[in-house]
Amino acid sequence: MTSIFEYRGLIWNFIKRDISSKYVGSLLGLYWSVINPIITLIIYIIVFGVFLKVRIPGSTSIWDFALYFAAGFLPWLAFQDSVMRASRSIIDNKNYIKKVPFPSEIFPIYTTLSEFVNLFIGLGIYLILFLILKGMPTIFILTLPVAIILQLVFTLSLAFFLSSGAVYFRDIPTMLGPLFMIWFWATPIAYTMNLIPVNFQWIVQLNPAYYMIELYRDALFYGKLPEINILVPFLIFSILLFMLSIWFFRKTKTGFGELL
Amino acid sequence: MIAIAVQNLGKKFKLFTSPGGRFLEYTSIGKVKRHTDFWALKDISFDIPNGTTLGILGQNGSGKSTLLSILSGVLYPSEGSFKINGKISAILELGSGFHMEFSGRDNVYMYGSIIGLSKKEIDARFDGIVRFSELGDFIDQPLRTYSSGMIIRLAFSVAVNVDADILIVDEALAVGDAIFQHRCFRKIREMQEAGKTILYVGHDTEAVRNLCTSALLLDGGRIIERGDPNSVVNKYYALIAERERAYTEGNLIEHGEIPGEGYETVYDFVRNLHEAKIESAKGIPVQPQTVEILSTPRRVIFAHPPSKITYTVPVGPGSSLAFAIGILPAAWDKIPQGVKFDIEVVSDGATETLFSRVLQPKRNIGDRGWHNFIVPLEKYSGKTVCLMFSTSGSGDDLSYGWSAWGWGKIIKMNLVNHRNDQEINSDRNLFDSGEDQSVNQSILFPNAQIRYGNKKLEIIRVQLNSINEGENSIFKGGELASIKIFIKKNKNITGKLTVGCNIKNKYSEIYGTNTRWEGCDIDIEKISHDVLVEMIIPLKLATGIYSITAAIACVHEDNTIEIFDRKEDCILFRIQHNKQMVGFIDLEAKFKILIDTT
Repeated sequence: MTSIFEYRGLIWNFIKRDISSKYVGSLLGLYWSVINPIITLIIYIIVFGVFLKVRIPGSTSIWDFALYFAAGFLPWLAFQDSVMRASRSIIDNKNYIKKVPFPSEIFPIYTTLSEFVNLFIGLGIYLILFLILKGMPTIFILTLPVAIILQLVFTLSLAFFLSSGAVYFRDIPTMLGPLFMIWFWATPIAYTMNLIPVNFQWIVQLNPAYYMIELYRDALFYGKLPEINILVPFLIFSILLFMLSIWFFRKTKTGFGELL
Repeated sequence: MIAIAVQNLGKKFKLFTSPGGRFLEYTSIGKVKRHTDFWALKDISFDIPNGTTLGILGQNGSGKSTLLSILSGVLYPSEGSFKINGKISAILELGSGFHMEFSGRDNVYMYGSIIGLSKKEIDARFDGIVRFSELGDFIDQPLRTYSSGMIIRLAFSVAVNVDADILIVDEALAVGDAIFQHRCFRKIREMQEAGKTILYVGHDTEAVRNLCTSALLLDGGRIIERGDPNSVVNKYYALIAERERAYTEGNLIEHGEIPGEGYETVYDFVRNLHEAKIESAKGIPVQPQTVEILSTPRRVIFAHPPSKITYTVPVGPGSSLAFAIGILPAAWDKIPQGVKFDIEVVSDGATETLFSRVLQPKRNIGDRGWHNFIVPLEKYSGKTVCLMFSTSGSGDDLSYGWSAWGWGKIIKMNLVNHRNDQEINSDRNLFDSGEDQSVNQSILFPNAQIRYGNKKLEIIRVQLNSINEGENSIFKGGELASIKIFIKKNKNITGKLTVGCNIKNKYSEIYGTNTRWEGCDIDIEKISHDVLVEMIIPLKLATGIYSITAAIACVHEDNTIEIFDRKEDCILFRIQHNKQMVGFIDLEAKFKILIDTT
């Protein structure tokens, strides 16, 4: 990690370029980051809220469901985009890795960080919605950084695993699309936990994304402190996974030069 | 101090036939094996002392790039180790590693931080980099707006100005215009003078000759020659010429020089195999075997690699070692990395490599068949020496590496009966009988024995005369001399014969020309048996020892060159100039002095 810290200037440079090339003077970039999540959000709310009449426990308002859904869905979207793009980060930058002894760690790092702009755009959209529908959020919104940092650690871990794995199995980035779709439906984002048959609820308990999303819901939607049995397991899991992913990346990066 | 120390370095690539095979192998935790090993480098060891410039030559696919990639940290070695003392700056394919969307300035900082400079250190060098690259205000524009020349200028300028201790330069210098190239070479010379270590890799033999203090020749991922740049360059040319000739001659079964009638056998290695000490891979015997070449049976020694056969033999005066190497045809397609053949001599406790060659029949069609060589043993004359014949292969291919030593023997030139051979020999004697006995020919011009070509026409003899005093080996500076090349026609072919001559010294080629450039090529049809080409040349050279290389060839209409015969450094001569000067050539400057006396 020390070597990565030395390259912070370089990472920052890459992030700046990446963001400016994506958003400055590009209508499309803006479309993907703002309009696309809004449209998706509206479609889900219509299908689940209006047609299927999904409501959260203890409320009959469709707007409560809408906010419940948005609080989980917007971070999820940013998470999914970051992981999918970071998984290609080594392959996409092979010109640097093959020719110069580049510290290849910086590629998944900068891609993940620059994709996090999407998370902030998503959170912005949510807060606007919340202000319109509910007014001021509670003080517990200040726990939001905890959720964001843990999501970053979790995303980086996956980025290290998948970007390096993709060098060995080129199919990984392609496989991620369908996998993320399954994962999305396996996580209570568009529906609530109580809709899952009790026999199957333990599966959700094993899903790290569930913990991540719950942290956001507590801060953004329910307006309360994160629950201990959500925060602690996810914290430990993220840190262990992160350390494992760095070890894995270091171990596998010796093959980049020849496999790319 | 050693700048780069490389120890038994090897790089193995796993070749998978399909991505599925790769997946299976990774996921089966060693249970399934779906790849074949390919050793791009094997047994590479060398030390580069601080302040030297090492040239690395080799054909495409010889492992140069792999070696560079390992040294610069892009690839990791599969075995062995290397140690680098100092900061290393590599220009591998100029401009790669640059980011097209970043400005020149950002790229400079990026490259600097990759090789380990702090921001402050780059700040200090930044102006120098911009000045050298002559980019001016463009330095703040994104790289994609640059012309290719500008990118190259920037890349080179960064690489040489970051104060690395070791600079790795590859072919990159070949691009860029003449002025820039000139400036680059000047910069490289400055770095040499400043005591930096430089690694130059490429095909540009002139650059190797001019820049490098020593050189390596890689072939088939192994070092087959090392030493002073001149001899390595010549070996490289000889290698290419031989491959090229063998390739054009297609599936000729035997290549190279075999002893003619003027020789007698002194010691037959095949027949005396029982006297040798044999070390070999377990279970596979080293044994005599008969092979058929054009329906003629020949006896060879089958020596599956790794193997080592050691003979202890006395060497008489005028002896040479004649032998052939080859890989049995059934193995040709199975051993991508080939087999290395080495002959070493132990004499008075010191070991020297007499011969080293890799045969890669899968990659080079020209390496198929049998390859004959004659290596002189004059140096060991009068001594009893150990001759060690070893074969080595690598990796999984071992079980297929059927290699063999053919008809090895020590031969002795029979001087009495064969006048022709004696005359060839007289080239040598010319020098030996000269007054300056203290000069050791083999040390100054290690290639003096190298001769190659297909011998459709053959150089019988080269003679250097003073116009005034007859055959000579010591000349006055500026003296008019005549170089006579006696050529014999062996085959009836058509075309133009080009006869050429080069004068070299230890460091570089000094002058060379040929009948083609001078517009006097000879119609081969007009030659009935022999032809004598005489070249009159004023020897305007500085005091020193020089050599003459003579060659005959035919330049075909498609500009391919068929070399009939080329004798490297076949005549040595000394120039004794009565004036002092610097350099090699006497340009005969005159001074004119006007003193203002008013």
